[in-house]
Amino acid sequence: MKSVLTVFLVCVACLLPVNAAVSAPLDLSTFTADPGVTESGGVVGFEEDFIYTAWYFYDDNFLVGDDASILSFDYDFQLGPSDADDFLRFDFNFTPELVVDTNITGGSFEFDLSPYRGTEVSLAWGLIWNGDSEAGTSASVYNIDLTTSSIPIPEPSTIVLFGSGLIWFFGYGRKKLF
Amino acid sequence: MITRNKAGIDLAIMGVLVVCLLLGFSSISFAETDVTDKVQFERSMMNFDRRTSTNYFDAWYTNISGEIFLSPIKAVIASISEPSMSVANADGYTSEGKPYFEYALSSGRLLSDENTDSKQWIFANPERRRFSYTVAVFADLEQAAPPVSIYEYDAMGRIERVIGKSGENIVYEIEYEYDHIGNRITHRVTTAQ
Repeated sequence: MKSVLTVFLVCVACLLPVNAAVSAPLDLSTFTADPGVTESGGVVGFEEDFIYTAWYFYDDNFLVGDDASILSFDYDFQLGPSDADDFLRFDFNFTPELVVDTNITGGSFEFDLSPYRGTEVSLAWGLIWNGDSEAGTSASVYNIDLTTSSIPIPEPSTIVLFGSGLIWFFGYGRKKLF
Repeated sequence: MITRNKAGIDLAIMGVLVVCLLLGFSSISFAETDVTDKVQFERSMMNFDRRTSTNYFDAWYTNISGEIFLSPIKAVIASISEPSMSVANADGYTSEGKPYFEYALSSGRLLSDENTDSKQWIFANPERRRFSYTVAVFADLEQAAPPVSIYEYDAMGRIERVIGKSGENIVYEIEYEYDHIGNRITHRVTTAQ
């Protein structure tokens, strides 16, 4: 009887809810690109020219889903020849959360969106000119992913284990016990 | 009749005086010296605010001259290359309508190699255009104190040395020597650089 109960409890434990995280590319269709900014296949490119002081890719009404957690992305940054001090920014609600300047050529960044679930926020990446007389600085942002906490679905192996436990319980175990 | 005319003239004169007074207070006139070449401009990274479409940075000045500037120091934005742009947070405007930033000095003076505090400069840039600007800096210079001669005497009451000082600076120094009967035979003049 003891062993039957143990097997049953193990099988039930395998089905207990476990928070599984799923990462997927962020839907960029709601974002706006300034002149000089391109988006293709999830890669956002920035190119400095001689006309403007700032180039943004943004969504000021981004709805954070109820299961959203981590926004992550990779970036590359390349100063133009003879250029100095331009920089790439990631702004959350118009506040810089990441500033990439002269000494950095690339990296990754993560931002926790879970405190803002169900609300509209502003997300923006921007290349900013620093007042020099040069142009040619470029940057790109890619692998823009949003991690969500999904509803747990039992894995096939768990189902097999649980099922075999039930078969044993109603078959062999029952015969032996009763 | 004469009295009434006189009263009218008096009123007219008073009116003119009041208008002159009001005009005098309505605009800042710059009696200060142009010290643009005597200061070094420094600023932080230029940033951009997307909501207000403004470029901004923190700016301050260093006195690179040997002179002393008196508070306040005024940085007048003489021109901005982009016509659509303007200064968004000027401390005031000159009588010619040029915006300026005012740097008040806590000690009242800016000595050589000293910095002002930093102040944020904000440029409204509705079209997000690149731009350049020219700045002229004005300040009152501290006037050198009038030279003072300090006499030093020897044991016999003769002048041994005269030191000319302007404030703390020695402007000149004269040393005297006498022969054995008291005739002044030499004097050596040293002029400070």
